[in-house]
Amino acid sequence: MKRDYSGLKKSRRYLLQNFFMTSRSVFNTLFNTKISDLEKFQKIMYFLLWILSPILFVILPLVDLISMIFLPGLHLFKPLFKAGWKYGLISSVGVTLAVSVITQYVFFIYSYQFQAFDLYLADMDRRYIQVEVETVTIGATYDHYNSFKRIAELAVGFANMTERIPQIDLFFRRSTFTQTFDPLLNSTVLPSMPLFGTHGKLWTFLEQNIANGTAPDPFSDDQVLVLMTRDFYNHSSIELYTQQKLYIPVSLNIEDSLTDPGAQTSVNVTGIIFLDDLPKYNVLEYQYGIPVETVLELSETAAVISLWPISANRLHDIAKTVGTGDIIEDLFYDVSQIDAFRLNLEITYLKILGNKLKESYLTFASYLSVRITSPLINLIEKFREEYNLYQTFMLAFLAPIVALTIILTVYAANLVRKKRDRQLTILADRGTSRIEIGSYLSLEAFIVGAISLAVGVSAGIPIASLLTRSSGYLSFGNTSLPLKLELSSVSVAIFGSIGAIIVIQLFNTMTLLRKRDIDDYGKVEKNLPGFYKYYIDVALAIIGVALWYVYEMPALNAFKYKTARYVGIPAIVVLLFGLILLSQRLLPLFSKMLIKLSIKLKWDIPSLSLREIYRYQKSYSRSSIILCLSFSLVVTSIVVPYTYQDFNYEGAQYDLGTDILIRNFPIEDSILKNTLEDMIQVEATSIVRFINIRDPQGVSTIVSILAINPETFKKAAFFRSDFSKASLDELLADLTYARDENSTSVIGQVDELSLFNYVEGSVMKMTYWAYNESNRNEFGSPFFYTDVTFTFLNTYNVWPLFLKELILDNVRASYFHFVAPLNIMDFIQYNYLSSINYLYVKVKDGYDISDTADEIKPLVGSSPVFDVERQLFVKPDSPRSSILYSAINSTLLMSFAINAIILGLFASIQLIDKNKELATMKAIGISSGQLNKYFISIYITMLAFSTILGLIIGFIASSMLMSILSISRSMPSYHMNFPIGQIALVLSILLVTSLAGATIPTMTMSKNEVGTELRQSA
Amino acid sequence: MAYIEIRDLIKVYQAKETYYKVPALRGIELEIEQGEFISIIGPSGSGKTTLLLILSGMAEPTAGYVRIGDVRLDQLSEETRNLYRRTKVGTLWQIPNRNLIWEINILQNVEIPLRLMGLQREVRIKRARELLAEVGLENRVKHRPSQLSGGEVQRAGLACALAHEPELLLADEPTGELDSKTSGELLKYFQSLNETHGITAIMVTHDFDVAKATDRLIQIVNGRISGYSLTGDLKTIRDMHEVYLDRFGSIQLPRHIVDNMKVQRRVNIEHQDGKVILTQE
Repeated sequence: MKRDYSGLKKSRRYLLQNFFMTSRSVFNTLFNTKISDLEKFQKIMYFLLWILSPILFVILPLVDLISMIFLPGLHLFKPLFKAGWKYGLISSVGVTLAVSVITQYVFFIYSYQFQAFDLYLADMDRRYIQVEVETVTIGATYDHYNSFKRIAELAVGFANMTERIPQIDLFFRRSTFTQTFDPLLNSTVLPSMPLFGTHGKLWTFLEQNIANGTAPDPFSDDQVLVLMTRDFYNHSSIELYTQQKLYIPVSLNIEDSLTDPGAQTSVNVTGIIFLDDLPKYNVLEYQYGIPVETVLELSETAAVISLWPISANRLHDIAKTVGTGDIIEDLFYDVSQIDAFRLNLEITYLKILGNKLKESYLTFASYLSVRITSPLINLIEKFREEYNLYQTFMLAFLAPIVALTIILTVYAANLVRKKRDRQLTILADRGTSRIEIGSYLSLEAFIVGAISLAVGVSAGIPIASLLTRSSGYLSFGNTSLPLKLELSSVSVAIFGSIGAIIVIQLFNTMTLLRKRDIDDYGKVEKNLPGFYKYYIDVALAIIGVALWYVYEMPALNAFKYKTARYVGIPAIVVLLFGLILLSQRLLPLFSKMLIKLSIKLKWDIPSLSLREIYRYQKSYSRSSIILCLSFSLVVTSIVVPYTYQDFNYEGAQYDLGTDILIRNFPIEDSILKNTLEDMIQVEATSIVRFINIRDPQGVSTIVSILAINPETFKKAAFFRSDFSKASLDELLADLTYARDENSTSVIGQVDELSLFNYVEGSVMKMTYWAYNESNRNEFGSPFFYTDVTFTFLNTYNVWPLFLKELILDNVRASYFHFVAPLNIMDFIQYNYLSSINYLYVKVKDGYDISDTADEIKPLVGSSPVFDVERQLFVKPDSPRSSILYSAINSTLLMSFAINAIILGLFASIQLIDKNKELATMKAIGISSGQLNKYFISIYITMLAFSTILGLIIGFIASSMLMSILSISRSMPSYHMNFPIGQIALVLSILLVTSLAGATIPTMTMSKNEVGTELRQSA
Repeated sequence: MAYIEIRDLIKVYQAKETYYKVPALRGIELEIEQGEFISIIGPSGSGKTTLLLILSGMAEPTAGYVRIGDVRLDQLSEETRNLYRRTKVGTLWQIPNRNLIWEINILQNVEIPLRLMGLQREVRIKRARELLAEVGLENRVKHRPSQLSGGEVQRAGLACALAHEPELLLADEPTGELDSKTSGELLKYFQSLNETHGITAIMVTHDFDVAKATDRLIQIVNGRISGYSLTGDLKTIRDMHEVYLDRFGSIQLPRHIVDNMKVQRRVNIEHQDGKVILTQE
């Protein structure tokens, strides 16, 4: 009989190693061979070997490695796999879950980051860098246009960004108005109609979209195109091939311009372009274009535009302009080149370009007052901040899921170990070496891992796909973020999963491979798991509290975005685990208390069965930890979105200040205002005006003033509960007083005033950059500086007016934000074109805000209309919201999955472990009903314990998470929404399923024949 | 030279999670010739199974000398210990699920030791079928252990233990869970193996009827050999006991010895050839 089994394996290895050496030698020889010296046949052989030897070079060591690991146990594969596949399946549960978590997370994150930024850009129109040079004498030649363009081109060249800025559009603008007859109002009106001059691509685009008429003759000096909305067209008498007059304001009474020959010019309208029909300006063949109104910074409903020299001629024709206008240059950034994974680098590029532009204008044109704005930087920074926060949030939910997966894996591994110990002991008894067992287990782990990888990835992809469509709490709408499987994301997911599989399977194999003691069966696991001896739970809870304390330190408030990720979230996760582990110390007490209670109530069976929890603390506490964690995650994933949705809605109202806001509202148009007020859906309206007051140099804004009508404002605006210490009535009474007194008394923002030690009653005198058109005649410029004195009547904390849109465009650098009555505008000399007028519209209860806004839009022409529902920070249909809700949804889905798996394992434990116990109990005469009672009382106790703790800990975690999430907004307050009905429903489903999962095997087995049970479970 | 030689064998267990040490064997001295059929008896906890575990290579001696054939069990590395188990010794335990893997059929169970020997499939199956036929299970080869009776399970276990043709067969109460008829059959099989194949067999048992069928009987009490009989008959066991000798030289004799000796208050003590002899005055 052949006894030396190892010879074959050894010779196989020698053979492989020799092959490897040979192929390496062949490769080296080939490398040193001159191909020109070879014959034809030799050349063919050369190329064949050249291809073959590197393959062998790589494959042979791999085959060698695989044979080294798997060969020693291969002869045991068949019987052992047959005997152990069930257990392999159980241990694969954790692996599969880990793979699916990794897959869905990686695919989702990649899909999101690859595409969300692009979609985010699509949401924002301003994807360029803008250079604005005010009050430049415009030359009426193409040379002037080209020389200006050249300055920017040089800067782009210096910044080495020619590839990133493939297109530059340049135009000049002069604010003018016209006179026309409004047939609908039956009166003459003076609408604003600025004059533009341009050339190049922008002009070509406009020429191609002329609705009526023809393009101006380049050799004429007065032919123009009129850009207007259809509404403007209906309200005016501007016709094709007619002369149209343009004026500049020369005094506060703009009608004075009509009679001043130096303030006017005439243009010949050869073509009309309707803004309503104009396609988006597709600057760089992007998928997403930019509206022409945005490119031209056109806030009016009509404009006059022509070729640069023609428009410049018209400008010079208005004598009082002295040929000056504002030059605006848009440097379009090829956003498709932005690497969504390296946003910081893009910001650096943009900043470098901004500096180069400044230098260039200073060097080549000696312009000091160049204003360079890059909405793209703000946009990228904003995206990065939001993205980081949401990613942090997702990580916060992911961390417990990962931990649960680990605990589950250990749990499953322990269970499997218990069952397989006997099999492996018999093998050891028969003389099987640990190398053989280890080799077989590695092979089994490899197969299980491969299956888990396939199943996990297959499960992960649809989950990720589902998550990319998350558009709200457990809502999977049709957002435009499809799952994108890139080579990089697939490889990260696969390698990540393989890494996880190797770690988990290594752990499982090592657990099974530990040196076994032949008589180490049936040990009673009294006492909690080992780590309780070292107070790990207490340490975790203390670390969690300490980290949270650090996160909440006022000194770190300025870095909340960063500390949220690196301190806040870890604090929550550590505290969560600490509390859950700590709470398990109560399990023996809890079971003891119930034992006493059941004895008092003379419940014989429960009093007997509850002792089992006390006796097997180790294994029951493990189950309880998983259930607690899972339940607390379920609670968190319900409470957080509910609270956030409320918070989100309140935040949107706070940002907008009212239900519907109409920007650039023609406040003098009382008919339009009355029409809106008469709409059945409208409850109230209020006019709000906004101006910025600049420093004497006109460089930065010192004060932003919101002028309101105290009576109507109260009815139309939204106020937060913590908006002020004083009551709303008190503040509005102050404003009414200021209005009636014709004073410059205002209400100030409390933190801004305290910074400069102003209190109620203080007086602030300031010199500002004033504007008066009538000064132009006398002093050559309408700008001058003068004084104004503000008196503080009262203070507010947060006023529902300084909306986000305003902050972005106008008041970012303001030191003070005042609220005043409307007539304060009479005491400040400002350029009326730089003020913004709003109409606040409050919608009656029961009417849809967005629908009402849609009805208002056609009535107000080109004035932008915002509504609170579309203003939601986390819009239901926006990709921006996707990651937040997907984090929550994935947590909920995972919690359910983990609960289901735990239940499955519970059932398996029952099936495998309790068989003999049940049969023995039946053999001594316990009835099936009593048996059910025996086990059900254990399950109920366990579930009750886990549920109570899960609820408490889940609520704590929710509060902490909300506190972190709320830093994305300036709103400090929120109210925890604890939807008892929802939680009760979800927990009931979980509890019923848990109970069913745990008792069904018990009930099924209790019906089986005792003898069979006893024999089969030997 | 005896086939099995054991000198001053000591085995101490360290109880888990405590500091207590439990001595299971306290100095066993034993010699067994090749082809002998030995039974070991003794009360529960006396160290019988521990002795068997050491002889099977499943446990390591704490101290002492153990030789089986040319193998020193007290000096084995893990690799040679495995080789010893898979070539020299076969084991049969009282609890059936220590002999057979419950999830596979008995043919596959018997095949496992043959797989470990690196035999080809056809050879393995042929040999496994022959072995199962020898123990009378030729019609049950595809059955799982749970589908067999107690006696059949033990016979299948025996087939497993003999699959690799061991020189030494160790059995720990193999008839413990069997009725007298089935245990009788099993015992006859043991005897025939011993006679025809010359396998040395050591069997732990509580059953004196079973013990009678063996060549020699050894009694272990409290980790020491307390008696033996050359015939396997309990009545011929030489009575040996361990007693405590205090520092003043006093000992206390076991009650039944005192009764059997029918001694009065005084006895004579004689020291001869390393033995202490007590005689009535």
